[in-house]
Amino acid sequence: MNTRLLARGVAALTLSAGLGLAGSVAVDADTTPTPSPSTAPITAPHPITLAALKARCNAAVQRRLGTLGADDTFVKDSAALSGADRSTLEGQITADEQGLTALDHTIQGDATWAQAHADCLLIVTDYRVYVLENPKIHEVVAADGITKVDGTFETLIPELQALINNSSVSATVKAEAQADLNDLTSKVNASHTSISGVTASVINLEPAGWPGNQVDLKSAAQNIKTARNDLAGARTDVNDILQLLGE
Amino acid sequence: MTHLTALRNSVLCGVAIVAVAGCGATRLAGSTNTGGTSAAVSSGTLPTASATPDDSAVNQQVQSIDNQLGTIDGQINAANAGLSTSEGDPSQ
Repeated sequence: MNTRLLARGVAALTLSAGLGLAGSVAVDADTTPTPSPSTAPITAPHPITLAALKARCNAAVQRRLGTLGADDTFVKDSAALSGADRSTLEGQITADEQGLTALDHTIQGDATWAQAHADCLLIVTDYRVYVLENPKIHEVVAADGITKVDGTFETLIPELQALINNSSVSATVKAEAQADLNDLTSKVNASHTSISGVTASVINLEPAGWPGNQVDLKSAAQNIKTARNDLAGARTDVNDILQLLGE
Repeated sequence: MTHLTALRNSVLCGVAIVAVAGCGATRLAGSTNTGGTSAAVSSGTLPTASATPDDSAVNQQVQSIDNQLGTIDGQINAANAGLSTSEGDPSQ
């Protein structure tokens, strides 16, 4: 009886492990994994030469440098980012670019296949460009952008109030417009609450914390989405107010 | 001779009147077109409330908000794409 139970347990564990391996499709790309010959699961090392291995590692580094270069340009040009966040992100991007370039140099000088392969894995584990750095940068830009829009709304609110006060529409219509403005104000406040602390929660996440810090990225994404939805509601209120006053 | 001179002056005067009238009409048409274009741009973004000086400031703020929201949406999409990505062994 005990032997049978033990055998069942081992079988269950084996099945679970097998399913886990089959489900973990690892890709060296910056897009959602899709089944294709170039995104094969890791099952066994490919029988490639040291030179071919180094070439693949170099290609992986170059792809990441391309992504980081594009991010750097965007960060430099973004009007949404605060000065401090721009400076922090630029510093991180530059450090990643320099580190990856140095790592590639190390890999190209490795004397053995095993050493080159071990160093090649560091391209992923030491940098996490696609799963951490890149989404983190986009989240910070989005969060700072929402903060900036909140500020623009805060400038707009008194101007809308003045339009309502000075409008010649009926008292009933004016009251409707005022109700919309009150709703707008509450939505902007809600957006401000949702986005508060989001940038700080992700901007200093590091590859060493992966995969645990993926939770922070996902939480930030949810808060950004909530704040964005509030702003969409506030934007609708603006249209409603202007339409009411234009009657 | 006197009649011929008077006739010539009358013709020249008529041409001048037609030219001035034509210029005026062109100028009016140009003004109308400019106003029409401006109105179309405004209505494309917002319904204008009334002809107060605050309207243009409000329109500018709203246009700025729309532009910023568009940028934010792009960043949200890019971040979400990253969150559904995985990184494997680069040597594979």
